[in-house]
Amino acid sequence: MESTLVKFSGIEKSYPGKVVLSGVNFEIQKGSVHGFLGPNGAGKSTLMNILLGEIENDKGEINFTEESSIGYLPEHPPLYMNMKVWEYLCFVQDIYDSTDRDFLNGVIEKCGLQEVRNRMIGHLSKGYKQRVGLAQAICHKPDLLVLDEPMVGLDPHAIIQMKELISELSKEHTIFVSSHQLHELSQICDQISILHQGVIVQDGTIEEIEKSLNQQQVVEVEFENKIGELLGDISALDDLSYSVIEGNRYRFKSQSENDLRSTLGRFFLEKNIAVLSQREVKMDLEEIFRTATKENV
Amino acid sequence: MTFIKGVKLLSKKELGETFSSPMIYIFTAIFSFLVGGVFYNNLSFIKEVTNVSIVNGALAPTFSAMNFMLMIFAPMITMGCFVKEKREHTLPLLKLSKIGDKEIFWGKYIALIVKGLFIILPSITFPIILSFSGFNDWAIVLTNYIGIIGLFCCYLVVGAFASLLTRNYIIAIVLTFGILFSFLILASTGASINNEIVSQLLKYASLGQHTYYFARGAIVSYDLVYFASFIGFFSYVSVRLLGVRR
Repeated sequence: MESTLVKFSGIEKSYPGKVVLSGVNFEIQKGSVHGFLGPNGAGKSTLMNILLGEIENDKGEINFTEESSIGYLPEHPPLYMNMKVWEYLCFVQDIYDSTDRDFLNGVIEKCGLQEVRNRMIGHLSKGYKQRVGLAQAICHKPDLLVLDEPMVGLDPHAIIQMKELISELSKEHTIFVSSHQLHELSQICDQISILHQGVIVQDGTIEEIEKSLNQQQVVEVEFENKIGELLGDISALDDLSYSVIEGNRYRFKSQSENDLRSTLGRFFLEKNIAVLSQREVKMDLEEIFRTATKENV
Repeated sequence: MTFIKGVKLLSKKELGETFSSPMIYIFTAIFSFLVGGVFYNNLSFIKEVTNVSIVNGALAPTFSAMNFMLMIFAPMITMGCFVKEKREHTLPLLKLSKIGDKEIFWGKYIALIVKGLFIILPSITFPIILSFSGFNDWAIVLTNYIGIIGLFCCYLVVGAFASLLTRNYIIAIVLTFGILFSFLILASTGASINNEIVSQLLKYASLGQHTYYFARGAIVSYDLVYFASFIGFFSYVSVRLLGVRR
């Protein structure tokens, strides 16, 4: 992530009686996979359409730091059902004034469409249609790839393939992807922006957002034996609180700036307590999303 | 990308899709069957009446019926023009590409005209059949075809315009009929108005007032200018409509 490719500054958009976007600011870094999250009605599609030039914003600017072309895969892939895959992709290349058929052959291979290249698009499965949609988005060599819900409606097998494909594509394109599948998104995104009620409530890497949302450290420890009598001593350490998860597994929380893992480690060593496992508990994207959107209601 | 290249790309795609579907052949068969029926009836009629020429008794009523039928067929040919793009979410693909709004509209419109010509084409067999019995007034056949095609192009541009206004096939058909009939009755509206200038203007604007000379073997610039301005007006509005950003 070297430099900014797209900068959204103070984007505002209203419809009669409804403010959809009120001052959206964030940046998409060149070469990154940027996840774009938000509950239904948050204004995600409106912002994507503004980026694509389909909708005009009332205020604000979208600046590209360099001349960039955009490849777009909407939630419903724009496919001509009566055309064959190869014929359709050639048409898409043509309307983008590109005639590099060798590159198109590479795209077909990359998207796993060799088997169906001469088949009618209308006869393909949902997974294949999505791949054709992705192929049309990249066949004219765009700098920025905008993917709107690319994994929606796919079966688990197709989701895995789509994730792999997006990761592969991230080597050559900057990707801006919106999705409700938070777990999948967390596996492919370098950065995320969370849009809620028309404003960006969180923006950055998952770690940065987690840090800003959750100032406390959480460590989960499993002991070999019960440590009931020592819990009082542990609580006295560094403003620490605990909860039992099950059996000998406990979750310790601290607001302190000291590293909780080493504080606990030292204590267990001093008291000669046998520890089976110890791990820091991170917020997953789902938790981040829930917290970020709840905090800003 | 040049205008011509954009139009050619889109027309080619449209025609490829059209001719790979059975609908165009079904339309052509039905149209030919109906016009053939009218032609046969007219021929039977002039066999019984001796003082009517082939042109007046068989050709003119056949072309007149063709004109009416094309008005019915036009909305059915054009309904999918933009409605289908909207329903299949393919319009953003075209709008994001290097093809401009003008090219998108004209590409589709030219494809519609080619489809229309394909439907009309088999009707050329009727004057050919007449030629076997000595008919050789080809100039009148030619002017009739020019008139019919000119009017049909007007019907098609209205259909393309209407399909831009909605996402529903039925509404596109109803809108096309509505606009075409409104333009058709302008002449009778004009006749009932006392103001001579307004009356003449309304008559000129009416679609029904531009076949008279063509049917009699004459090409009048008055009619050609009308067709060009009618098509020009609706294509201009359609291109503007395509370019409107929400």
